[in-house]
Amino acid sequence: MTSVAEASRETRRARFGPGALTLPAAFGLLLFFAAPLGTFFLYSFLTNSLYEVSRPLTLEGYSDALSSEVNRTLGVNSLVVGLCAAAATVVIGLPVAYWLRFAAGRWQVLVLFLITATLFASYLVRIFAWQSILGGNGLLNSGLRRLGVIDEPLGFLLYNRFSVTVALVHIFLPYVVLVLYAGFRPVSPALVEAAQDLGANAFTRWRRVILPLVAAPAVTAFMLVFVLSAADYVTPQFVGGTDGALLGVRIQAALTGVGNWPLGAALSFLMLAAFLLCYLLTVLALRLLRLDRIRFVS
Amino acid sequence: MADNIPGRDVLVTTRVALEHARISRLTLLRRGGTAALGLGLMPTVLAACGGGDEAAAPEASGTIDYLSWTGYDIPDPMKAWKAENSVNVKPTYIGNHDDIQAKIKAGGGAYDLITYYQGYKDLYTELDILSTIDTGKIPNIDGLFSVFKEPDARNLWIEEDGDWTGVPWTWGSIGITWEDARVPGGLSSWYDLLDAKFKGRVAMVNDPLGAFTLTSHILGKDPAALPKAEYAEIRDFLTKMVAQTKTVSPGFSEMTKALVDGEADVCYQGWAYQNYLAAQAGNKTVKTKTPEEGAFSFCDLYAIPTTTDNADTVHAWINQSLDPILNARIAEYLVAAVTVEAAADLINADTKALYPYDDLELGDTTGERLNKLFELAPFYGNPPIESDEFVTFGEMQEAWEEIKQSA
Amino acid sequence: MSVTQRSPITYAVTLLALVFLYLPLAMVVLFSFHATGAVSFPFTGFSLRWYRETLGDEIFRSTLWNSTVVAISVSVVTLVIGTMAAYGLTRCAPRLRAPLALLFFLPITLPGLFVGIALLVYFARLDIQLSLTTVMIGHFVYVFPYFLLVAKAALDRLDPALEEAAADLGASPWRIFRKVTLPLIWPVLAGATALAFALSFDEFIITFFIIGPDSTLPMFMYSRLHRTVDPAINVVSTLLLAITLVFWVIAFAFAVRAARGRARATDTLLGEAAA
Repeated sequence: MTSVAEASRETRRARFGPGALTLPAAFGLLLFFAAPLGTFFLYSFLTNSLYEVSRPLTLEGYSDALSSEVNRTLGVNSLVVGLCAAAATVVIGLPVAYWLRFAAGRWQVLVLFLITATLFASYLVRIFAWQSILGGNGLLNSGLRRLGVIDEPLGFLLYNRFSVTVALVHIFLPYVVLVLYAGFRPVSPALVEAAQDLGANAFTRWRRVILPLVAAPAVTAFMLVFVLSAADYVTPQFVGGTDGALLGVRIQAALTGVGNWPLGAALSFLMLAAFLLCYLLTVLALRLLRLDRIRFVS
Repeated sequence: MADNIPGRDVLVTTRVALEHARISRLTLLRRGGTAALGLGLMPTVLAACGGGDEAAAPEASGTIDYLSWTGYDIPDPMKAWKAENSVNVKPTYIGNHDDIQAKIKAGGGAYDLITYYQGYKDLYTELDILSTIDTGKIPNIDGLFSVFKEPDARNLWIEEDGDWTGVPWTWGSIGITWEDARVPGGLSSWYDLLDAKFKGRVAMVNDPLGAFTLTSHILGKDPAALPKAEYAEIRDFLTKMVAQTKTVSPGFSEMTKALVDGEADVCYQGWAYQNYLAAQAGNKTVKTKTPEEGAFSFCDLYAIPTTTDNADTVHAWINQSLDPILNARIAEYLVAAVTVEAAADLINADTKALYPYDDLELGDTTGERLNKLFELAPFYGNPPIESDEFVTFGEMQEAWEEIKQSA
Repeated sequence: MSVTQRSPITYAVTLLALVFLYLPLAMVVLFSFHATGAVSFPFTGFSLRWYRETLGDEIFRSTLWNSTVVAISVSVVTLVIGTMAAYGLTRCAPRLRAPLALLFFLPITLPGLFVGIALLVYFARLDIQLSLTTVMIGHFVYVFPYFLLVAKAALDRLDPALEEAAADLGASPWRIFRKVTLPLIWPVLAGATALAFALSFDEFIITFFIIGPDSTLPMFMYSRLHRTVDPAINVVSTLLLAITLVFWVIAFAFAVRAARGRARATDTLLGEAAA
C-alpha cells in the first residue's frame, strides 16, 4: 500500500482539489457582480456629467438623494410597502407550508406542483392582471355590482399602496411557500403531535413549538420579500398610482431618464443600507430569542 | 441643400410629382404594394431629371439598427422597399424618450437610426449623438412643407449653417382626448378639465416634459425659457390637474385603457393615436381635438447617430419615407400627420380629418397655412440642461415628482 | 412518512391561497380570448384573433427565439459552473466556505434593479456594447445562486459514506463524481437547470437595463404594453404558461420517480451490505 508520506500528500491534494472547482464561478461573479457593484458604489461619490461621471469626488449624489423630499417620501413608502408585502406573504405562507408538511397526505405533490406552477406566469402579466381584478370595471367591482352589493365601483382597490402590496404578495407567495416548506421538512410530526397530546391549543402550539422551529427560514423568507418588494420598479408604475409610488422608479429614472448616475447610485446604496440595517436587526432579534441555532436531529 | 434650390424648380418638381402621385394612387388601389414600390422610385428619377440637384438616394443593403418607439419602424408601409433592397430592420423599442440617450450613452450603442422629438436637439448635440445628415442623398427632402425646410430660429433640426441634424417625417399635435359616449361633443377648453364633475375622471400620462410644455403653452409661456420665479404658476395648474386624476398612467396605451375601461372620461395631453388604440380595443367613440387655447406639436425627426455603420442605407430609408405615397401611408399607419406636401392629398379621409389640411392650398409652396396651425400648436424646445435664469430639465422632472406626490 | 393530521384552518388558508394565486392567471387566460381588445368586463365574446395576430408577428417570433437562445445558453453555463461550484463549496476547506458562500449567494439578496443598473454602468465604463451576450451575463448572475442553492442542498443530503467507499477502493475524484455522485444527483441537477431556464426566460427587471438591439420576449411584452391596448401580452403569457406547465409536469414526474428510485437503490445497497 502507499507510504504515510504519499497518503498525506494525497489527502492534502484531495482537500485542495475540490475548492478549485469553485474558481470559474467565483471568477465569473467577481467579474460580473462584485466589480460592477464596486464600480457603481464608486460612482455614487463622483460628479454627475450627464450620462457620464467625472473626477472630483463629492458627496453631491448623497446630498441630492437625501435632500429631496420626494425621495424621502418614496423611501418611506417603499419600506412600508415592503414590510407589508413581506408580512402578508409570510403570514399566508406559514399555514400553507404547515398544511403541505403535516396535513396534505397524498395531495402534497399536486398542491406543491400547483403552487410552483404559478411561478411560470410572466412577471409583467401578473401585475397587469390585477388591473382586471381591482379596476372599476374589473372582476371584483363587476361581480359586486351584479350581486347588487354596491352601486358605484369601489375606487380604493386600485392605484394605491394596497394594490401594489397585493400584486407583490401574488408574485412572491410561491417562493415563500417553497422556502417555508423546506423549513418545515426537517420538523418531525411527532413534535407537533406531542404538543397536541400535552393539551396545547392551536395558538399555543404555534407560538411555543411551531414558530420557533421555523423562525429562521421564516425570517429569511420575510427579508427576501421585503427587499425585493421595496425595490420593485415595475409594479408601482402599473398599479401604484401616486399613493403607491416607490423609490425604485426614481432610481430607474435617475439612471436612464435624467442621466444622473451618482444620484441613482447614491439612492441605490442608501436603500441597500436600509435593507442591511433591517437584516441585522432581524439577526439580532433571532439571536436574542435564541432561535438562530436550531438543529434538527433525525 | 434646401436653401440653394431655385424656387421655380421646386414648383415644377412638386407639381409633376403630384401629377404622378395622383395617377399612381389609382394604380396603387389596383395593384397594391408593388405599385407603391415602383412609384417610390419616381421622385428619385424626377429629382435626377427635374433639374437642380444631381441628388440620388444611395444603394441600400444590410441591417438598420433602429432605436425608437414601438411602431415607428413602420413595418407594413416599408415592407416592399425592405424586401426589394434586402434591408433588415432590427428595432429596439423604447418606453420613454430618455431611453434613447440612455441607451446610446450607456451602451455605446451601435444604432444606425433614431428618431427624436425636436425639443431634444440641444441635449443630443451636447451629448454628441447627432451626426450631420447628407441631404444630398435624400432628394425627397425637397418635398417637405416649407415650414420644415426653413432654418428655425431655435435650430431644432437645421443648424445655422444649413446642416441638417434631423429630418421630419411625421408630426402630430396634442389635444383633448375624450370618450364621446360619456362626454358628448367633448370639451373646448383645457380649463374644462378642472371642473368638479371630472374629479377622478381625468387621465394623465407620466410625461413630465409633455405636461410641462403643454401647461406652459396654456399659460402663455415658453417652456424652453421659463424664468424660475414663474414656475409656481405651472406647478399650481398641474397640481390641480393631477388632483383630478385617479392615477398618472405610465404610457399612452395605459391612458387609453383608462378611457376604454371606464376609469376616466377625458385626457389631459391627449393624442389622436389614442383614437386608433381605443378602436382596436373595441371602443370607437374616443376622439381627440385641439381646444381653443391650442396645445403643442411634436415633430418626429429621423437622426443618424454618430455610431452608425450603415449610413448609406439609412439615408436611403429616410429618403423612402419622404416619398409622398409612403409618407401618406406612414401617416395613416401612425395616425399622425404628413411632412411631405404632396402626401397631404394622398391620405385617407380619417387621417386627413385629424389636422387642418383643408386650409392648405395645393401648390402653395410657402406653406403659410400650415404655419397658422403651428401658431396654435407650436413646436417648442426643451428646458435647458443648465441655467441660472430658467427652469432646467432636471428641475422640471424633480418638480413633476413633487407635484404627483402632493396632489 | 408524513402523518396526515386534520387541520381545517390551514386547509382553508391553503385553498384560499390557491384561489388567490390562480385568479389573476385565470383572468389573463380569459382575456387572451376576448373578442375586443379590452381587458375589463363586460366580456363580449370569444375570439382567436389575438392568437393569430401575435403568432404571425415577426417581432414576436424573433424575440421568442432570442429568449430561447439566451435561456439555453445561460442554463448550460450555469449547469456546468454551478455544479462545479456546488461540489467545490461542499468539499472545500472550511475557512474558504464562508467567503465563497457570501459571494455566491449575495446576488439573490440584491434586487434586480441594482444588479441591472450596476451592470449597465459597468458595461458603459468598459465600453462593452449591449447585446444578447450582456443579457446572458446578467441572467447568469441572477440565476446562478438559485441553481447553487438547489445543487448544494442535493450534495449536502448525499451520504458521504458512498463516496468515501469509492475512494477507499482507489477511484480518482473524477471517477467518483462520474460513477457515484452524478447518478445520484442528476435528477436534481436537471430540475435545477430547468429552473435556471425558466428564470432566465422570464427575466425582465435586469434585462430592461442591459438589453441591446436584439430583444427578448419579456421586453417585447413590455413594449406592447406601452403602445397597444390589446391583450397581446395575455396571449404570450398564456402560451408560455401552457408550454412551461408541460415541461414542469415532466420535470416533476421525473423528480418524483427518481427520488423513489434513489430510495430503492440505497435500500438495495444497504440490504446487500447488511446481508
